[in-house]
Amino acid sequence: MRPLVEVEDLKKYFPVERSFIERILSRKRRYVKAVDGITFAIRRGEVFALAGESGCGKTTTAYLIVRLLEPTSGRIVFNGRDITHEPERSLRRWYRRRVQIIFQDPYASLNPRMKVGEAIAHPLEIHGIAEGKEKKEMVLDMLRKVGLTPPELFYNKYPHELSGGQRQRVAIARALILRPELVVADEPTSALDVSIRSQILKLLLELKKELNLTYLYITHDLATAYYIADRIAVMYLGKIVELGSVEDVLENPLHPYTKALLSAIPIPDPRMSRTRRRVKIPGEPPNPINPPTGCRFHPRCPWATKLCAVEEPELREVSPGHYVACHMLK
Amino acid sequence: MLMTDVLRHVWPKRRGIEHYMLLMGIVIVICLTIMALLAPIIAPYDPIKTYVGKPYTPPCTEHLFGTDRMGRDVFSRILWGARSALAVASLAVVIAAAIGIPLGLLSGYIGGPIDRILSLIMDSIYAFPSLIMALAVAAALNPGGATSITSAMINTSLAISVVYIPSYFRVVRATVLSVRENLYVKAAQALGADVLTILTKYVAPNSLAPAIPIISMNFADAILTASGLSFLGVGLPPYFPDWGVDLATGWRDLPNGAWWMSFFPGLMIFLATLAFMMIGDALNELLNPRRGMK
Repeated sequence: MRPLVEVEDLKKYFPVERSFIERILSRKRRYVKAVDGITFAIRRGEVFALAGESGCGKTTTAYLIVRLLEPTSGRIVFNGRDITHEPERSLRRWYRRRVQIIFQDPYASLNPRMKVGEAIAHPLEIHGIAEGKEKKEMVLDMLRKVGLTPPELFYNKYPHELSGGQRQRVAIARALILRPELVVADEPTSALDVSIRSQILKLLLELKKELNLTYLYITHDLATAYYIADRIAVMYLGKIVELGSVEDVLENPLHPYTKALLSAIPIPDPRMSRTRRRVKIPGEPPNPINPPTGCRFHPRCPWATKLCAVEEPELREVSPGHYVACHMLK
Repeated sequence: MLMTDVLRHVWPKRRGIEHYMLLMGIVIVICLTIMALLAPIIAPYDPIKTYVGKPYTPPCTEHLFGTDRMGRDVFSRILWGARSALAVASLAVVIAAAIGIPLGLLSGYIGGPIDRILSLIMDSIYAFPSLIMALAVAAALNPGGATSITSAMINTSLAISVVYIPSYFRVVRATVLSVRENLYVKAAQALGADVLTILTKYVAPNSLAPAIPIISMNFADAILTASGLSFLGVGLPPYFPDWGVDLATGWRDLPNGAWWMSFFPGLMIFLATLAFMMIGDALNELLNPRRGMK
């Protein structure tokens, strides 16, 4: 069966603002290479996680797929239809109904002047799906589904009267009321208290089952990814370094960066924590305006050789369905 | 629910000087409005009729504020004058806000060449001395004097409003520039809302608060400018009861010792301006989001 979303060599470069003097001297325009050629596919009905540190381009990828940004090059194919450069007008007609996004910060993603009921009903109005009583019934039903009960109570509240977890539930309800096929969740739990996180994750999984959803789950937290995802791609500086099922990637990581990320997860038991072998990486991610030559990870990689500084490794299949971009795995 | 929040914010248990400024301003404005509305009932004489008393009568019991050089009752003219002052000022402010705010929203949200062009036009209007600008527009609209009082009032309002459009435009545009970066605007786009819906439902409600103090400050300034235009002879015709007109005709008799003919209109202009200024300043202070941090 054809995957729901196919992403091919996707790139997004943001131009860097130049100062007045630079413009006069007409120096070359520079770009932040936020996403620099990534390829993956999301299968219908799965949870695909995209993991990496801040600044690795995972949120940009999310925005590209929901087309809040237009790709610089590459291809995004949704359900067999190329939407890479589809204009906003035509996106509004069909794509925006089928692909929805849940943002990271529920304090910022809800309009402070719109009541919960209005906010959730608004997508129905935009697409002319329901009106009047039917619309209200759908909203109340959705509120019940996301666990905001009694729904009549929440219907007339303003976002500032709700807690972070409740707000995120409203954002989820707003995204799902259109019955989308793909839901892009951009770190939906990272702005919430730890105690609320697992509730939201459970809710997302329940709704996925109930409404037959496919998720693209963006996260920097590998533990969350392990819990929720079927497959995972690890990104570093705009590139995918490792891709595969969560079991393969997280239980048997092959790329040194994935190993380092995994060993950075704190373990509550100090004895276990002492005995584990840790892969440490020095420094911080380099500047994406001017990424390192060859393998982007080589200045921080414990295994780096001369080859790594010259030639960029390709993403290769090392075992069925498990892809790694590293010269050391041949 | 939000309304009571606003009210509690504007009139809390612990009050500072700006709360009393606001109250005083509102009281004066209410008095002026009552004056304007009840002018036909309260006014003891016809404001336009000449020789209702002896010319140059100083304030006395029969003529509270005296009479002018043509024997018209100054007190009656002051009462009727509140009408034209409030009408012209509110019309000017409404026109300016009705043009400036939508343009500011559009320009700030869409950006690009439209924004550049609009900003350039607005900045050039803004750079022009305001009274001269209003004078030029009024002169252009009223070649050789207006045909009727209504058209004279509308033209005066239009001339004044042109001067104020940039202040709404600039304030709203600047707010939109920061509001449009909010995640909820992106969310609206992802939901499939078109530009108009995003502007009216998401951007505008969150961008208009800074324009409110400007409305009341412009009101004050509009009364002054209207008086100025009438004073210079491009506003309302000289027989019409208007504070600016009366001030303009009355000052010529100052050397004769007839101070009441210009003092009372001047006082009214001062009071009205002060009231709106106080409201504007107080709102500016009270609606400032950083206020709570003090």
